[in-house]
Parts: sequence; C-alpha cells; structure tokens
Amino acid sequence: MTEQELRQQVKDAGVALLKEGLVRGTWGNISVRMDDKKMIVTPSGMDYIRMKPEDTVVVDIETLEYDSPVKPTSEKKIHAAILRDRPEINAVIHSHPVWSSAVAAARKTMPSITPKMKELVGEDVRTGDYGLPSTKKLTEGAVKALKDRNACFLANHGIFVCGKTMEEAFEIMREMEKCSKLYIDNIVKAELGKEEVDSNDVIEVFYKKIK
Amino acid sequence: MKNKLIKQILEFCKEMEEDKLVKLGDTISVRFDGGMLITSPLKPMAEIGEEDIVYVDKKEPKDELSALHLSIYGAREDINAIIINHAPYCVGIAKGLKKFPACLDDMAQIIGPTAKVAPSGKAVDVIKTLNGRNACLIKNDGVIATGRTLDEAHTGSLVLEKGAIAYVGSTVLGNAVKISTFDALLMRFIYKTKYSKKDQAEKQAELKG
Repeated sequence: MTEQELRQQVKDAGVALLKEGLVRGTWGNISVRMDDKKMIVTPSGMDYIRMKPEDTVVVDIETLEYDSPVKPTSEKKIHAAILRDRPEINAVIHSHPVWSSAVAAARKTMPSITPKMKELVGEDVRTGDYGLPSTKKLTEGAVKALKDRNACFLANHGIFVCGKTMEEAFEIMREMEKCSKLYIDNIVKAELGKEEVDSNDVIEVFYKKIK
Repeated sequence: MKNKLIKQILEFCKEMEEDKLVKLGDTISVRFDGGMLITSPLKPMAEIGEEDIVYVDKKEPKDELSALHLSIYGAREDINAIIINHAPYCVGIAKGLKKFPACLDDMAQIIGPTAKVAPSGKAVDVIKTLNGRNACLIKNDGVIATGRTLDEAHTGSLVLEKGAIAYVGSTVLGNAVKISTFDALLMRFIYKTKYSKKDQAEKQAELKG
C-alpha cells in the first residue's frame, strides 16, 4: 500500500469505529505500520470526522520523531512499543468502548468466551497495569499484557487491539466489545436465573452486590 | 449565529436519540442573547424541528423546566449549553446512591473524581450539586450535563453514562476499582487547562464566525 492509501486506511478505520459505536465520547487512537522504521498514527485531539487523511502523522517507531506541523497522538509511545515488540503486527487500535471499558475498570483477566474470540485473541485477555496517560508504566503494562495475545485492557482506561491487517484489528475490537458485554451479562443471567437480560437486570444485580 | 445554534441543537437532538440517552420531556438549551434557546419538552428529540426551538428571556421563564435551565446559566457563567437526559444506567444509579466514583480516566477528566446526585430537581439543589462540576444526576430522575459548548455537554452526557456502566459493570464482575482522588484531580486539571481548551475555543469561534 502507498503512504496515501495507509493514511486513508487510518481515517476510514476511525470513522468506522464511530459508526459502529466503538468510540463513545472520547476518541482513542489508531496506527498502521508503514515500513520497518515508520508508522502512521492519528493526530492528537482531533475527532475522526474532522480529521483528513493528511492530518495523520508519520512517526519513527524507534525514536518517536516526526516531521509534521500536526501533533501525533499522545499515546504514540504505546503504539510504537507494540509494533517494535510484535514484528508480525501491522495495525493497532486503541479505544474506550463502553463494555470493554467496564471490564478494564474491574482490572480482570477475561477468559475467551466465544470460539471466535479465542481464535482472534488467544486464551484470555489480560489487563495492563494502571498508569496515568502517556506514562512509561502504562506503555510497559500494555506491551506485557499483549504478549502472545491480540488484545489487552488498560486498567481504568480502555482497550488495545492489534492485527496483521487493519481489518483484522477492527474485527478483534468488534468481538472484544461484544464479548465484554456478554461476560457481564452472563453473571447477571446466572444471578437472576434468566436467559435474556436488560439494563434493569444489570442494575438489580449491581444493587445486590453493593448491599 | 442564531441559525447556526438552532442547526447545532437539531443535530444534537438526533444524536441524543440515537445514543438512546433521552426520553420524552428531556430538553437541550444553549445560552443566547441574554436568555437561551431551548427545545420543546413535548416532542421526542428525534422529532424536534426548528419550530420546536424557542427563545426564552432570562427574566421571563415559561415554566419550571425553563426556569431550571435559566437558573443554571445565571449561577454559572462558564456554562453555555445544557442537556437534560435520562441515560438508563445513570437513572439506575440515581435511584439508590448519593454519588458514584470515576472508574475510568475519561470520566475523571471530563466529569471529575465523582458524579453527585442532587436530592431533587429544584434549581437550588441542582446548582449546589453542580458546583465545580459539569454534570450531576437527580435523585429518582435523570441527568443534567453542561458544557462550554453543546458539543462538550453532549460528550459529558456520553462519558457520564459510560462511567455509570463501568461502575455498575465492574461491580457486577466483583471488582470496581476507583481512580484515586489525586490522579482524578490531576487528569481533570490537565483536561480543563490544556487538552480541551483550544478545541472548545475553536468550536465556540465557529458558531460566532
């Protein structure tokens, strides 16, 4: 793919995240490997609708240097660290979808609960150590939690997914959000002895737990 | 500017309905010309048209609801937009708790270390509960989300509901981990002074331009 095509791919993935409800309120960030040394990342503080393909930023994976008037995402360190650690990976997506964020707030390791999830991400999905945004602790926690996996939660923050292609990374994000909801719903179903549950049921179990 | 504001209100009415955060009776307002522009509470948000958005002077509230909006604008010069909504998980929390903690970074940044529940929807209670915050819940009722722009009030509505889901969901999973007050206040300070300031200023300038 040409640089221009990769920039467009990043823009399209951002818009697709928004359309599928996989970003909520805040935006997250996306990267794609351009070659052995460079990645293309989303810009800082710009929403995916306003963002043009040329607003994406080419960043050196080793040094994090960039030659652009547009500032790259503040989470470029994590994207670069993942691409350095995982040569087979070419696309990384970070977002804060609702249900994945709820699991991230519990700082749990979530077992793969569908065959598709197991095939896409591995045995389970771990949570990286808590750290303030853009810190070394957060970066190291994410890289460690992603070892031999294609997804990890970031404690109290959101989720990182990665894939050989952008399409694969996107598919993993979609499956992780579906399974995160299912993970919580399954507990509610077991507690209430119901086969189907809604928000009122989840809230009922919540009040039982905090009594 | 009035036409731009009306157009923007109409866009966010549709978004709030698509986000499934509103019910009949919920309203959106923006500060305008010594008063405000406000949507009718008598129509579902998805059906609100230009004719359903009216100007209300700050000295002449039409009813209790418009008086509540105007009281908030009167008490808080930093607020230019208000969305009253009934996001389902926030409503669930407002039935039984007095506040809930931020378990997610973006709630800490945009809402604060906790979201509080006002004891009633009376202006005096809401303004007191909103002190130092952009949003609050109302006991046995809904949510008041505010912002420097309508965009910020909308983001606040989304992030508050996501924060409520994270708190409820992680509690169901058996381990809701709250963000420490120190970290939450630090993140909120950085968000207010750096991250969002330029963005919000640009969005306000676009409306005036």
